[in-house]
Amino acid sequence: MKTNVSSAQSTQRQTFNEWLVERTGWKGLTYPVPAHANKIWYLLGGISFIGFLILFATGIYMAQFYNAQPGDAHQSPVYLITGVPLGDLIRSIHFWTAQIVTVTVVLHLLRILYTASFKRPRELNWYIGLGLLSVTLGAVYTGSVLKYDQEGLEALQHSKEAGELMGALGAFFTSEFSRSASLLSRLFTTHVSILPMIFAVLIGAHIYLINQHGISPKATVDATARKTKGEGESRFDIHLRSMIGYGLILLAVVMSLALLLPAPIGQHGMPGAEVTKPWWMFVWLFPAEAALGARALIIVPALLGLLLALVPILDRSSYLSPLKRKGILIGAAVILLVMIIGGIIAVLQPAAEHLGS
Amino acid sequence: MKTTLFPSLLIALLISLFSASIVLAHGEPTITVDPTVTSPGEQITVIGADMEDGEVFRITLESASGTVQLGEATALKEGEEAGFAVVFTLPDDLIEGFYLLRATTDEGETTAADLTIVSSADQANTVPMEASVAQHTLDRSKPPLLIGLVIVISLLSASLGVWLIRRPG
Repeated sequence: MKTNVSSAQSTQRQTFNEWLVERTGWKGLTYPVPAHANKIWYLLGGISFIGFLILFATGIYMAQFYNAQPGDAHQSPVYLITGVPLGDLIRSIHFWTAQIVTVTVVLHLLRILYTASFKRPRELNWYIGLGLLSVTLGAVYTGSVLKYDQEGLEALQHSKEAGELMGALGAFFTSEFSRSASLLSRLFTTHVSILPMIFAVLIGAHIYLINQHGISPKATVDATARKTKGEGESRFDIHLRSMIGYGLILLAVVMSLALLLPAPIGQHGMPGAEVTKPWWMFVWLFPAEAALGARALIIVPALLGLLLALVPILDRSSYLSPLKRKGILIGAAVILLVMIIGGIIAVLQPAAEHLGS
Repeated sequence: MKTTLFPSLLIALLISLFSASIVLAHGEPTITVDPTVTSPGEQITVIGADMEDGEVFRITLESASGTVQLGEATALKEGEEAGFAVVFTLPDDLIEGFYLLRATTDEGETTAADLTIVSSADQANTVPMEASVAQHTLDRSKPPLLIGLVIVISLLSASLGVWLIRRPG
């Protein structure tokens, strides 16, 4: 009798599986991938992607309560925290996810650099990745402005000054770009529609190219760059399962952080004053800004972007092993160290006035 | 083509950076307005800096619905640079919204600052008199039920995550 029941259940499960496969084609996700693709270092991009999904979901909720008029902008997050159901929690989840996603995106870039996953035929995907890094930092910057507290207002004023210094190239960041919409409302549009649209296009291209080239080979001593599509001991559905697993852990972490450390919000900003420092993602720029003024906000990121863009051109051998690419890795380590030291100096320095210098 | 593309891009970048640095030129006139958020009928102080002695600026308020003339301001030399600080009274019938406060000379030299007009003085007074790094003191406490629910969901999410990662292929 028991055997009959279990046999019926097994048949039912098989029928359901067939029904699901016919309608979703999910068996198409069982193609081979290398086993090392399931390690956390090779899942950082996927974890970042899940982080972005959390950001979209929480951002959509928050946008329903945001007024981008400069007169009301600061009151919106205050109302979100004090008057909207789950508002404080959702905002804090958004805040902490943004912090962690920035870390995972940067670690993902460093992993790609370390294992030379940008080498032929993956150069184009490196540039798409740099675009995604810019979108991430752009979203962090615009998001930090929207709360319109002292910190947000100072960030806005800095980008406005940098925009003015760039002439026509920076016109978008100046007030004079539009006489019917404030810069704040245009940055809100950038945060909630322009950047997410660019993200969607770039991430689509990024995933497509990963699928075309396969996961880059493990950077062993003699490994060389090549296409690996269709090779591997593991399967993509297992890779995807690990990615979702880490994504769920990320969700648990940001929910816990949101509960323990709610996202900060400062007092209403006072125009023209400079009493705060940038968020940690940009704080390393602070000493350069002290030395060069607002032009540092253009020159330093442009130089860093140029150096990152040069990576596939400078490191053209087919070898993946870090031992055979010491020059470029030492160079990258030095730049990273300078940024870290710059950040430490900035944290120790008192806040200073840089605008107009 | 292959060999010239990268140098061309590099030159274009250097030119754009150079052009940025020449626009940097100190001495570009600037204006600031105080307060930046106010209401119709109130007074604003427009402060001009980095100007030439004797330069006359027309001060206007621009928005999508048109331009409002506020008056003129003449830059006077104080120390090494010339500037002005002029008080204007805003029209009583100014519509609530975002405005660009613009100072323009007859030669076409122009600079601008943001001004937001709100309907009531209460809203305008939310801008503090002094900048502060202090955080808002808001009631961030949450009901025990919500705290419990978040803890349960976090634990379930983390457990499911670990299970998915550790599940054999």
